[in-house]
Amino acid sequence: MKHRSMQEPTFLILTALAAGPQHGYGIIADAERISGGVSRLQTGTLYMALDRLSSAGLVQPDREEVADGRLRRYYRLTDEGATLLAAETERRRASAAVAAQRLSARLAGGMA
Amino acid sequence: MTDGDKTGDPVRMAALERRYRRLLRCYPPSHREEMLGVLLDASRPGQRGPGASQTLNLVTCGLAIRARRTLAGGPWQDALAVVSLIAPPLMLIIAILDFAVAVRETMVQAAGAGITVWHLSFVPQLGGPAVMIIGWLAVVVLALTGRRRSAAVVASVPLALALANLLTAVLEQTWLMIAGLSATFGYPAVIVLASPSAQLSGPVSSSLDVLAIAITVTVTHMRGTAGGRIAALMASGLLIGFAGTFPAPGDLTASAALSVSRLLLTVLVWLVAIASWKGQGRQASRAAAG
Repeated sequence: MKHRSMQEPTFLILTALAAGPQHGYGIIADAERISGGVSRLQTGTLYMALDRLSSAGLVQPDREEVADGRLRRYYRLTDEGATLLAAETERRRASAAVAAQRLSARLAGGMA
Repeated sequence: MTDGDKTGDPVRMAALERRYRRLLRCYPPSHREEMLGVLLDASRPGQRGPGASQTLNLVTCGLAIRARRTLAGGPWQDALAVVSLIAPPLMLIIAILDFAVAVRETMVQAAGAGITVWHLSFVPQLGGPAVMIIGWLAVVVLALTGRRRSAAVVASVPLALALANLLTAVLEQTWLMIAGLSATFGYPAVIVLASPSAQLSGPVSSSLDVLAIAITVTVTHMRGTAGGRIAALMASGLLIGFAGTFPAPGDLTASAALSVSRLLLTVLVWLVAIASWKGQGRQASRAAAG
């Protein structure tokens, strides 16, 4: 079975949940930090992804809290979600390593 | 990154909340309260409303969630699979009948003008039906050989023609407006989204046929056995298809009456579908409660 590469919002959401459960706004803020301030998830995009990831069993609701009269639902990563994120991380690490290698070869070639 | 709600003035916040609540109707109810909290947490101080890009994002993502939930599993998916299997051959039959009718009319016209058909260098009214036949034939072959993606791509040709026809009909004849609108909403909702090889045929009437067939399949699927399902599908599909093919165009009264009766039929089937849908919803909520 060939894996399709994971979309960026999915990667950011799974990574944000890897260390522990978070609520929706927490995920948005965390994803922005993880991406080095480059990606800001829109609320609609976040919930479309959470809806899909929940039904695929990669994340699941953890608990609900009420803060300032507002419902906050926390989500956590499931074991399947962690496995998928690990595979994606390995894939990204491998392609980044290739990129680094080629760049250093280019640099060496330029010096010569 | 700011808790705009704590510092903003209450009147403005209430207005912002109202606007967000309106947009959140696109989402399943279970998401709404939670998302409202996130949206207000993420709002900037002094923000008056959602911008254009946020509005677009909220609406499209909400519709995407609903579409995915509707089509993932359950009776809808099965019903649409049946439609995608049956619709291409049925549309091919209808296209062939359309062509036959067009040929007959051309011959009548030619006889009236005192010439034989073979002296007409180009017969425009045969072009459309001929394209339809070629298109549907290709779709049927591709679908039968399992090339569903190609089938869907090829089906977009008759789809484009059907929409062009629909637009013309709506522009020219106001009484077609209702039928046209119903078909326009029916296409994306029931057919196009659903099945890789489901598609549409030529005239407005045929688009309503496909819609009616899709609904009939869904309803009979929810209610009936497999045999009854196929029988109901074939009967209603063929009946509606044949009825639309045979009356002589130009006989406006007959076509108008036909369109109205089709529209009533579609509305009736819709009502049954909604009733059956609600019945299922009640059963589901009873099961969840019990």
